[in-house]
Amino acid sequence: MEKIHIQNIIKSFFLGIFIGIVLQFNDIELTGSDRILLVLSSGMMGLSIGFVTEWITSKIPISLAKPLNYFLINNMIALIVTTCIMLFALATIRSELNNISEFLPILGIVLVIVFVANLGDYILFLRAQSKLKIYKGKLKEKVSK
Amino acid sequence: MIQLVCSSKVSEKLKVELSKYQLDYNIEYELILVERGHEVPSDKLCVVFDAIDYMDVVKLLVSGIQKNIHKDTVTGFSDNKYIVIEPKDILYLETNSDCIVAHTLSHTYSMKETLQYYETLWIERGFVRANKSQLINLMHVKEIIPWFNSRYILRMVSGLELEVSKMYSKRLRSTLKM
Repeated sequence: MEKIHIQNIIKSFFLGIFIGIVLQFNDIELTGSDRILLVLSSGMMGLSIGFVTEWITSKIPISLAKPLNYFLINNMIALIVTTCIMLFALATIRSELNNISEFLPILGIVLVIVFVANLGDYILFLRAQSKLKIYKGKLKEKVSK
Repeated sequence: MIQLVCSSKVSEKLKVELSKYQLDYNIEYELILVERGHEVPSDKLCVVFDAIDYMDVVKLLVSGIQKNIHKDTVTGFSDNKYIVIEPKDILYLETNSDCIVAHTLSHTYSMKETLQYYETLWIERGFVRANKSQLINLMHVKEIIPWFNSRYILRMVSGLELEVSKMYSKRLRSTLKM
């Protein structure tokens, strides 16, 4: 439990809120209270997903720590979570949808957000390596002076 | 070397910390540490500090003034022998039950002092705290692997992997300006 990072769970909550806000652009017929409910439920979903993800990942043994494993597990989690959300959303609003194709833009938006988040993560990984190289270079220069 | 102009409470704390790093005080002083609120002498070099930041003053002195002790070499004990080691050869330091252990590529040496002592002393040499019990030389880190729960794994040139706990990952990020 001590490995769980509360800040990440809170970030998940706000990511959920953000997804909720973005999803509203997809359905302009929603009433005011529905919009608020959508944002809040999306936020709560983010919060619970954040907690479950933090809990599961805290159980992963550190011996598996390799860049490939990190991105693989990360994407698997994202994929499973997205599938769960989509299935849940599909089950709850199926009656309101005339055609399954109406559902596709929502899936597209969520997948784009997940993709961008993972791309950002990968860029951060590359940045960390280059920052390490720069730091070591500066230190070497300093020592040789 | 150092004169203290501060309240007795802060003075006591400073004396304890300074003696840990073998910095003399009150002997032919060249530098005066002045707690804010006390009179600042005009004829000597002074460092004015807030009482709450007294440890920052110690860190400043240790990294900036003290040049001789343990700065360039350190003595480690291994196989009933004392060996002089250079910080650049140390991969990481680790706390043991009664001492700290320095790991190089080929040997391990037990050393005196505390992890915090070397953390302060060798910060400019690229040593950063990775977790409660390990101080890592970033010069020997080959790769930084992000891991879940805001942790990192540092892969060393020797192939060894060391964990940066979430508590110290922020410090690593700020050191590397990530």
